[in-house]
Amino acid sequence: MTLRIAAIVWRRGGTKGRERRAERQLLRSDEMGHWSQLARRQKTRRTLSIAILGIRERSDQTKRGAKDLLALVTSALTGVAVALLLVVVVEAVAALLNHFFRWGSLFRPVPSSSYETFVGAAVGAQATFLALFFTTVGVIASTAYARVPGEIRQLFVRERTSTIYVWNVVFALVVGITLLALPVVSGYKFRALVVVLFALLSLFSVLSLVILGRRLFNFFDPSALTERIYPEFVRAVRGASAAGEHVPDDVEQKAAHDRAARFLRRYEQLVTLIAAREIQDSTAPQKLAYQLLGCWRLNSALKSSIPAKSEWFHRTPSHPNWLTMEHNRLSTALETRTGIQPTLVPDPLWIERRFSSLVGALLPSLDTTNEWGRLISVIDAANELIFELAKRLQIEEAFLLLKTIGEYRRTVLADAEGATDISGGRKMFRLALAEREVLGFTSLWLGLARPFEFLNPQNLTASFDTAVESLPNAYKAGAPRDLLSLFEDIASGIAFERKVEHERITPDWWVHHLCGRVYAATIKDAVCTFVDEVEATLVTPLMAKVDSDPETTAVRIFDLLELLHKIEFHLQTVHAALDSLQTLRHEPSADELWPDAVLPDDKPRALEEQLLVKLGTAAVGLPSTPHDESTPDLFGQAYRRLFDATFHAIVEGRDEIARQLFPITIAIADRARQRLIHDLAGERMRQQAIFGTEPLVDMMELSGYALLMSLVTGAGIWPTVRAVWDSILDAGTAPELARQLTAVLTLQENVFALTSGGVGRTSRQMELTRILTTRGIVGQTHLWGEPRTEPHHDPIVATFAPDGLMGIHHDLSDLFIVEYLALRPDLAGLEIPRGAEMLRESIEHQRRRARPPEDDEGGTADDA
Amino acid sequence: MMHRDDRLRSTRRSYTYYPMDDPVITERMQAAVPVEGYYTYLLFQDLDHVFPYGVGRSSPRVQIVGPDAEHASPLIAASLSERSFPSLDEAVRKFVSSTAQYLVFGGSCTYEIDYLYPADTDSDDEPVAFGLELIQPGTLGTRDGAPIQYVLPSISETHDSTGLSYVTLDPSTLVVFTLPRDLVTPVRTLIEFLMTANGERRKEFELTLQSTRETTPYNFSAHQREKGRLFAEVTQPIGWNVRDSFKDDQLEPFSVWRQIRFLEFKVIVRDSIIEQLNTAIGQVGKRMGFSASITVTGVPTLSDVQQAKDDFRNGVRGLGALATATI
Repeated sequence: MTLRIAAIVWRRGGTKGRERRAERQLLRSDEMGHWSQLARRQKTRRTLSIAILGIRERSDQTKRGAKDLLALVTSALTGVAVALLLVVVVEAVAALLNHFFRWGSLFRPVPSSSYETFVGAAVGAQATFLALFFTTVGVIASTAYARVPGEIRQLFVRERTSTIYVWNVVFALVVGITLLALPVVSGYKFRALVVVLFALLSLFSVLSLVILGRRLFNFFDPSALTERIYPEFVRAVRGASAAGEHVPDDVEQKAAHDRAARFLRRYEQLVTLIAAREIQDSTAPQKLAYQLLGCWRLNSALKSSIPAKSEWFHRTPSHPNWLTMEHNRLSTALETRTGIQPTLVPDPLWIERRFSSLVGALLPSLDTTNEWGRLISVIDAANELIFELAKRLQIEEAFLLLKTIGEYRRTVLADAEGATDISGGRKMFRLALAEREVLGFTSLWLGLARPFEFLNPQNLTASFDTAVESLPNAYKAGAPRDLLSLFEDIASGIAFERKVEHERITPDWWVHHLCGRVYAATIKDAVCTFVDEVEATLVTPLMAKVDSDPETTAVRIFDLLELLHKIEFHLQTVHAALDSLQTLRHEPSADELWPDAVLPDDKPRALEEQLLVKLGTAAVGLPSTPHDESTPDLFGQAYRRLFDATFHAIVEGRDEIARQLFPITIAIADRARQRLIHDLAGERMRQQAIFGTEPLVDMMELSGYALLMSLVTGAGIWPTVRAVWDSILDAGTAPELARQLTAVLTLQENVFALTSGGVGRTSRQMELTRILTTRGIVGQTHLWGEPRTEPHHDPIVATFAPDGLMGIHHDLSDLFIVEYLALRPDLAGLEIPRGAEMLRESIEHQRRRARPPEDDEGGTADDA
Repeated sequence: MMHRDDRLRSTRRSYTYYPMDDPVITERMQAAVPVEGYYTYLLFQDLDHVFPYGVGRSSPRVQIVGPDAEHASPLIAASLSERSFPSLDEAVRKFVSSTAQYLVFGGSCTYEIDYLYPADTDSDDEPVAFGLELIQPGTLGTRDGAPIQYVLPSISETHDSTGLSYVTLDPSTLVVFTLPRDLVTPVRTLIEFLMTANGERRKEFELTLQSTRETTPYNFSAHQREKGRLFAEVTQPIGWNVRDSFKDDQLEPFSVWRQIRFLEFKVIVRDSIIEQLNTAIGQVGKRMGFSASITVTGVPTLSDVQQAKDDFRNGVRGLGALATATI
């Protein structure tokens, strides 16, 4: 017992060596010396890294110099080779002639007197070339680069090939002067071969000047300088990105940041230079804009491989929350009575903000009188980039670019507000610009929806597992910002666990759940933000706008309707993606932070209805002049769109919007009819009759649909439709217009060709068939095995009830004739078309069937 | 320490006292259970839950089992409790938790079996009750291979070469509780680390203060991160997470895993103490003529811990549910 007591007595300092390692480290970390040592080490590492980076950069420059030299030498040597060939030919001829003549000692040492005139002249020429070269450089520098920052001028003056040329000339001059001076000083006789070498150098200089001289004049256009900036910027972005297993450290990240910032400054200076030029030429800004978009594209592609907290990003202050602060930090602050300094956090959009600002500054320079096509092509390129950004879920970045384009469009439109005399080209430009802004949003949406089309939970979990396995892996996943940040945290956490617990603790299911949650939240936020932004940026201002420019309004609405349709369609894709991600959810965790699957599904339809009403207003102001193929047919498009929208609103029971659209559509249909008279003036009479009367058929057909659907739903807009027609026909047009309408239908009945209008009517009848069938309104079927169904209580509805595969037997235009037009007291005895007559009989048949037996009998007696 | 009945005669040789006027003994006692300080006190508090509160309120409870359980039950309850009307549940909970605290902080813990006889008899043959009296950590020593307790000079005139007064103890009445062997070194390392960390808190404060006055290379966030790593490494054997004081690099599953591991540690220590207590009761029973032992039901067991670990890995339960289960 005693021995046992002695063995287990707890002694202070009982642990030794390895066991006290942590304690020693703790003690060390509490000494200021430790932090000074760390700071010194970091400084040394930084210095070394900078030195290594410098060496690497110098080496790169040398390589690039060698490459340029090679190009220059190749070009020059071609000339030299030709010259040498000539020399060889002459030499051969000379050798041949040598048998007959003697030419002295060409390959033996020659006295200086024999070549000094030649060399003297050549040296003089070299000096003149050099002077000429610098004069040209000076002229360009003092004109094109007179009012530019020193950095830009340096960029021009230190243009690499020019430097090589200057050194070559200098070298030739030195050799030449040596040839002249040394024999005088020492009496030494050079061999003729040296003279030949000098001659070759002179030749090289002359030929180089021809090549360089031509290039030099290109530098009157400052955008030529960007050719040098672009690769440097590319190198900077790559320097900040993880590649393979290498993740750049703080020093490399900072160096990359500084380098990128330097080259961005140069871009800014060049943009300022180009934008401020007195004579605007859109080539240079276009080139520069493409390059900026190229830089942005590259940055976007590599962004997911840049550590989220990298020094690459510009830093902005972030103030801590005192109410949620961790205890150690809070207690230290309270004990020392000090505040907590804001931490500097990375601004992930620092590059993009500058790019968008630069592109925005360049756009006005691209808008020259006759070359706005270049501006549009730049915006198209920007829209392509927006697609790519959205595809990578870089939504904020995409919105930045969209905002730039939007702001420019607003500026252009504001400038044109008061203008009364706008040329056709300028008008087209405004229309194209209006269209491009909406197309930008469309690109964003399509890009956003693209990754969700291929979302597969199995692949996703596999990629999550790989991404969190190590920090370098996190950067290979191509994840959006929030997810990347999570990958980094999990990878660091797992590395910590391996270090502390000697095994991975975090289970896979938790990784899948958390990553799935963050990804789902990212998707949902992006989609909701996008739809809100469409409403706030595009729809609301358009709705609030007083319509002074119906054409621009119409163009924007057409594009917006397309966008809203795409949104509505792809929201289903997003729902499917969220459902897929739901499979990664860990149900036992009952995680209330998992985002719900509620998306703004009703928003596109609501916005579409607003826009259609606005289109109706704008369409009234659109010119319905004869169609000109050189300009878009906005009136025709508006009519078609409104007719289609009115039809769908009627059959889908959206009465409010149908009630608003119907009078507008009827009014525009009449104008469309009048325009068609002019458009078809060159056609044969029959063609004119068939196609020119389509709008009238449309008017009757829509009215027929309105009547039928009112009977089907018990609500509908038939009272509105009737009131519209009453007002038209009560204005003294009744007999004539009614005859015209019935004549049109008679004509259409007799057409046995497949017309576009006919196909449209058939497809609308199929739509009606679908809707009625969905409501359970079907005709009596007689096929084997199918039970007989009770006919609808309303005879008209029963008449139109779709009959199995045969569908609907009557035209809706005829319904309008039979149930409205022919029943008007002032149109008694109106001759109606054959189809309408058949419809009337069918309806009568259904009415008889619907009457009670006693009535039915009476009816039969009457009929008899 | 049992409630002393004046009608009983005690065989106890050790003393319980407050060494207020004796700096040497005071230092020895403080060094033996170094609870003073922020981090050590956090751990001390957390160890109070080695045996969960609330046991005995429902059907799972502390029971005395064995052939003489009925006879032994009040004796055992009285031996572990200071109350006049002892509760077995509360007495065992308190005994196990405090012993665990002494073991973790002191490495071992010694109790003296106090046999009690009727005051009016001189015979030492048939004790009528017994008590387990803690020999205050830091006061135990040896002299010529025999156990002694250092006491105040007012208690004993006998003193050793250093001048400290002591009383001799009867080795046959001493019961020594120890940590499981594989936990001894890591726990000792942990306690020493925590004691160092206690002392260093002031330095951390000074570093921060200095950094507010002048520009220094000190980096508070980096310091916290480094400390977090060191704490995580040192606490790894027992799974204690320093009440989540250091969160850098720690994922939520890690934190929950640590809670499961700390529960595992507490279960191991608890089971070990109860096993050693039963050995002591067995020793007493031989003398007093009963055969009984303590069993505990309704507390987390190693199989519960294993289940929690399996559920953690397989995702059968969420982290929230697992964290709740470990409390």
